[in-house]
Amino acid sequence: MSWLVTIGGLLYNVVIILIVYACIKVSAKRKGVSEDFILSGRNVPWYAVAATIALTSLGGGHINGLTAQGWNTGVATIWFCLAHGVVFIILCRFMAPWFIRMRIVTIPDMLGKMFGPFFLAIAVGCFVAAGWSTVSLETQGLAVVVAGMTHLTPTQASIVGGIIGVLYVFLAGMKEVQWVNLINAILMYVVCILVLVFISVYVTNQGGAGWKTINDYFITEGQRNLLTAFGSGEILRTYVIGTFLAMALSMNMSQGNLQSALPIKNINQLNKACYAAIPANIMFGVIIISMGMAAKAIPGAAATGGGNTGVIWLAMNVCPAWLSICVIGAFLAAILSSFAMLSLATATVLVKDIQTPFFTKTRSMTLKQEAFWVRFWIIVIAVTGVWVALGVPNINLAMTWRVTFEIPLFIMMMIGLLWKCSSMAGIVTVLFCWILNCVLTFTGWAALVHLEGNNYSIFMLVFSLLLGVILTAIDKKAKPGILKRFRAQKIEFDRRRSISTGGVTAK
Amino acid sequence: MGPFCSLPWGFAIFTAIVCLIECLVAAILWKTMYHDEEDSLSFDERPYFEFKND
Repeated sequence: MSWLVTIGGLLYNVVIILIVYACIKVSAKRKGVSEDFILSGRNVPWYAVAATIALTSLGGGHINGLTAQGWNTGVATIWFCLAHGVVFIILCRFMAPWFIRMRIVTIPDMLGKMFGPFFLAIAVGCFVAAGWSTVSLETQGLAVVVAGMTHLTPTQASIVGGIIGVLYVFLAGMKEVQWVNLINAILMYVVCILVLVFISVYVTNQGGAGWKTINDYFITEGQRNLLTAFGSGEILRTYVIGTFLAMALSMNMSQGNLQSALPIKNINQLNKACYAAIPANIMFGVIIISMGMAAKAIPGAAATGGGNTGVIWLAMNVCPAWLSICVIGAFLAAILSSFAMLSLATATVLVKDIQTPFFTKTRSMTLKQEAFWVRFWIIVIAVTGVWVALGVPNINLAMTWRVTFEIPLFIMMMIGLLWKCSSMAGIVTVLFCWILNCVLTFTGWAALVHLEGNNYSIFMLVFSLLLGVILTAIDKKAKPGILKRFRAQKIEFDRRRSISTGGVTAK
Repeated sequence: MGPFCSLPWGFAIFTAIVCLIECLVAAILWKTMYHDEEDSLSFDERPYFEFKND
C-alpha cells in the first residue's frame, strides 16, 4: 500500500510535468517563439504568476515544518504563513515593478547598482548560498515524505525526489514551472480539503463527533492555548514575533520569489496576481496546520511521534487509496515546486551575476546558450543539494534561522531604493549583522535580553535599521536613492522621446 | 492569547479575515505607489530605457 501510494504520488507529478511540457512544445512549434528559459518570454498571465508566487514559498517548510511545529505552537503557527502575505505585498508593490522598469533580473544586480561592485560580490555569494541551502532543505522535505512511506533510506528518497524536482524545471524552464504550478495549486486545494472531510468522517466512525472531538482533545489536555491565535505568552515571545518578522522581512530577498513575479505580462497585472497569491498561499497553511493538529489528537497518528509523520499516517489510513495517492502527490508537488523554482533562481544568479559579467567567453549569450548554462547549474545545484540534505535539523526552525541573514540585505535595499545609497553603510551594516547572527546562534547571549528561541530576526531588524540609517545619514559620499535617480533619468528620456516621436510620457 | 480558533472553521475564518486585511493594505499601497502609462504595456512594448548608475 505504501509503495503503491508513493509511486502513485510521484507519477502524479511526473504525468503533470510531461503533459505540460508536451503542451509547451506544441505551442512553441505553432508560434515559432524562441526559448526564454529564465523568464518565459515575460508573457505569462497573472493567474499563472500568482500560482507560482504562492507555491514558490510553499514547500517543505509548510508540508513538514508546519505540521511538526503545529504540535508545539498550535494555531499560532499560522503567523509563519501570514507573514508571506506581507512578503507578496512588498514583492508586487515595491520590488517586481521596479525590477521590470529597470530591466533588472536578479536582486544581487540591483544591490550592486546601489552599493557598488564589492557589495555585488558579497550579495552574489549570499544569494547563491541561500538558494542552494533552501534547495537542500526542500530535498530534505521530499526525503521525509518519501522515506516515511517506503522502505527507502533517506538518501535514496532524496535522490528520487531530486530527480523529479529537476524534471519540474529542466525541460522547459520558467514556462513549465508556471503552468505546472497553476495545475498543482488547484489540485492541492481540492485534495487537501477532501482530506479534512475524511478526517472528520474517520473520527465520527471511531465514536467521536468529527472535528469537535479534535478540538475537545486540546481543551481536556490543558492545551487550550494551542487553539488561540497568539498561543500562550511563551509561544508569542519565542515563536510568533520572531518567525513573523523573519519571514515578512527576508523572504522578499529570495531570488526565487522575485523571479516568479517577473514573467508577468505587464506591471498592472501584478495587482491581480498579488490579490490571488495572498489567500492561495496563506489559506493552505490553515489546511496543513489543521491536519497536523488533528494528527496530535488521533491516537494512531499521534503514535508516529510527530506532526509531519502523523499527517502521512492520516493520508494513508483515513483516506481511500485514490485520495491517498493524490494527497502524497500534492504534498510532493508543493515541495517540488519550491525545489524547482529555487534551483532555477540560483542558477539564474550564477549565470547573470557571475558568468555574464566576469567571464569573457559567456559575456554575451544567446537565449539558447543561456538555457544551456542554466540547465547545467540546475543539475549542479540539485546534485550537491541532495548530497547535503540529510545534515540539517528541524526544517521550520532551520528555514527561519537561515532567512534572517537576508534581513539586513532587505533593509539596505529599501534604504537604497527610497532614500540614499551608501556603499560604506551597506557593507558595514550587512557584515556586522551577519557576524552578530552567528555569535547569537552559537552563544546564549540572546537569553540576556529574554529573547532566546527563534528570535534572531528581531536582532537583525533592530541592528540593520539602526546601523543602516545612521551610517547612511553620516556618509557624505552617499548617492541619492535609486528610484529618485531613475525617475529623473526617465523623465528626461520621455521628454526627448516625446519631442522626437510624440510617444507616451511618464506621469 | 488572542481569539479562540476552533479547528478547522474558526481557524479558517480568523485567517481569512487577516488575509482580507492584507489585501486591503495591498490595495491602498497600489493606489499610492508610482505608476506610469507604460505599466499596461508588455515588456517588449515598453520603450527601451537603460538606467545609468551614475
